[in-house]
Amino acid sequence: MSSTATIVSLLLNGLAFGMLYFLFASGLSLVFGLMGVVNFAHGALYMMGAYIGLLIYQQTFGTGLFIVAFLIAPFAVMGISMLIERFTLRHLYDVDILYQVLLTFGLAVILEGAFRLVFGPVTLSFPTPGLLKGSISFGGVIFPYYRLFVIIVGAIVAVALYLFLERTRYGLIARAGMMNRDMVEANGINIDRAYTFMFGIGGFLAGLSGIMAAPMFGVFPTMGHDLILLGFVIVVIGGLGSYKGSIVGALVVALAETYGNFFAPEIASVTLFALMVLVLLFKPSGMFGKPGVLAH
Amino acid sequence: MSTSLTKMYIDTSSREIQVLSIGVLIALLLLPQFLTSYQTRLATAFLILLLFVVSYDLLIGYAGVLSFGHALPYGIGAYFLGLSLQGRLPFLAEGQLSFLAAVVIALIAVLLVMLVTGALALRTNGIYFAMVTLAFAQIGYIMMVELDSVTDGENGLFISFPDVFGYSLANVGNVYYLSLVCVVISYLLIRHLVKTPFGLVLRSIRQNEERAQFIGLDAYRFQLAAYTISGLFAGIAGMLFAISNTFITPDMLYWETSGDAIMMAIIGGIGTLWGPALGVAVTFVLEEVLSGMFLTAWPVFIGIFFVLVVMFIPGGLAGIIQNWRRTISIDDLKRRIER
Repeated sequence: MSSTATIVSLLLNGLAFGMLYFLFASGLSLVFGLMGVVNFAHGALYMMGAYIGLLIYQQTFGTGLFIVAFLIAPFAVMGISMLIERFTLRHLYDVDILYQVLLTFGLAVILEGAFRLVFGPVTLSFPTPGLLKGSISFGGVIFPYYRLFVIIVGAIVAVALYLFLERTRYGLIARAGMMNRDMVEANGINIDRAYTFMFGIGGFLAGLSGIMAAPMFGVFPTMGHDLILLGFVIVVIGGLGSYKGSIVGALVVALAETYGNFFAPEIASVTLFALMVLVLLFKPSGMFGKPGVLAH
Repeated sequence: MSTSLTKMYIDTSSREIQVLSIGVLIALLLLPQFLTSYQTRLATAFLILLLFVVSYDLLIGYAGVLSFGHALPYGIGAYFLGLSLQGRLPFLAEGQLSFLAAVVIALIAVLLVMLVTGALALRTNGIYFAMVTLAFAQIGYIMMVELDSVTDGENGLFISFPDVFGYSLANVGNVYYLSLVCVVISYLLIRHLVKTPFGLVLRSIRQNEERAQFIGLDAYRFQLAAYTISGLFAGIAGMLFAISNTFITPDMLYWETSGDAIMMAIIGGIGTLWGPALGVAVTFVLEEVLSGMFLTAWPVFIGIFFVLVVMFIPGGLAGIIQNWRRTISIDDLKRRIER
């Protein structure tokens, strides 16, 4: 394997992980940007996406149709998120922002505990879907099809989400709601429903990243832990509530991780956090975050 | 619009509270005489947890900054005490250090770690602060895992303790009394601290940072001091944990450690010191009773309990008792007016 090939395959791997992290972190960032809620249960939703996907995958007509699991799991998590928002979070919008953190943290504990109770603490394997088995090779670079698939899906979702926020009436309402909730309501728009839907979108993204990650990492109750930490690092680096920030942050973190693991494995795990500290030193609001966005 | 995270604390100098405290103290002093060694261990664990959670409350309840990384000083205190006693730190052979020197080294380590992480984390506020402190604790966790040549990584570290003032730390009763002395003194110090001008300044910053800045209080500096001091007490709790367990793992620094402590503090009611203490007692008893019946369901149960408290009784158990005592805080009034 030539050194160029190494660099290229690391880059591709970094991109694949970056897309996965982006799917995850964008949901975290979106929910914050639109509703001012940092969802500590986002990792638990991701874990649920993986488990629901695995259940469907095992049950579908005995053949394991990945596409069915892939399409249903995110929507299932979306539905659950909307219920969560409707029955718990909604009652806490007008109290101190930190109560929402505590609430979502508590929800994460419940969800994780429940899944551990039902499925046990073991890691369940999620076989790579048949069509995406094997890998592509060119010029000495070998790259699994599945990771290519992750990159493509991530890119599609990134564009779709952007268009949704920028070009649709719904995105407009969401952005307006962020600026001035009362004014949106005065214009006859049901902001409560919009909020529920937005939180659902966040859940959808968490569920999607969960099922995407399942064949790569396996499925286990605490799988959300590592990712929510990465998600926090990403939004701190990129800037909370910034869409561009979650893309850039995710790619920066993933590439730092991939290259770090290859060139300096002994310090790799701390590199990410060191990056975060650097950003905090020079731009406490993150690369693309608006200063004062957190003033409340 | 937003209501503050905590309630005003009630005046704890009333006669009945004093009588109650002295009663509790005497009970704690006599306790080991009536317990088996297993129960004494349990009581020791309870005291240590109590100090950890109360030190957390100093930060959340009084300074009003929600750190999610309080496991960091807790673990650092335990690890540095263990590492210096085992001669694992550079330039040290085993048995070179007296117990007291090891304690001082551990405290200095906690102090430095808290000053550095606090100086960085406090550049942010609110939610960011919660995320950043969580990340810092995770760095600590990763380091303890990765530096396994020093810390034995995930296998955990066994510590052998020398005798202290001629008392063996292998004796369960001795460890209990050592913990009791440390916890009671720490508690009284924290209690004193929140009544001093320093504590008043913290509360005023929590209530309105802008106004506090206007009258010339440097919020950053005061919050950093609170963050560091509460970390030192958490470090003491960590050291006591190391002494009573003689075996520590990196899990001490994992974010679940912080999370559990937050849950207990909130359930008890932050912004008072006896609230979190009550919270620890209630969760501890519940855990003992329930985990016997269904161990694996415990996290779900405590999670549901916690969520209900956050949603319906944000003042926690202390809030209920205070309302029952007909003390209404400014926050209560504000909340009623807002509705």
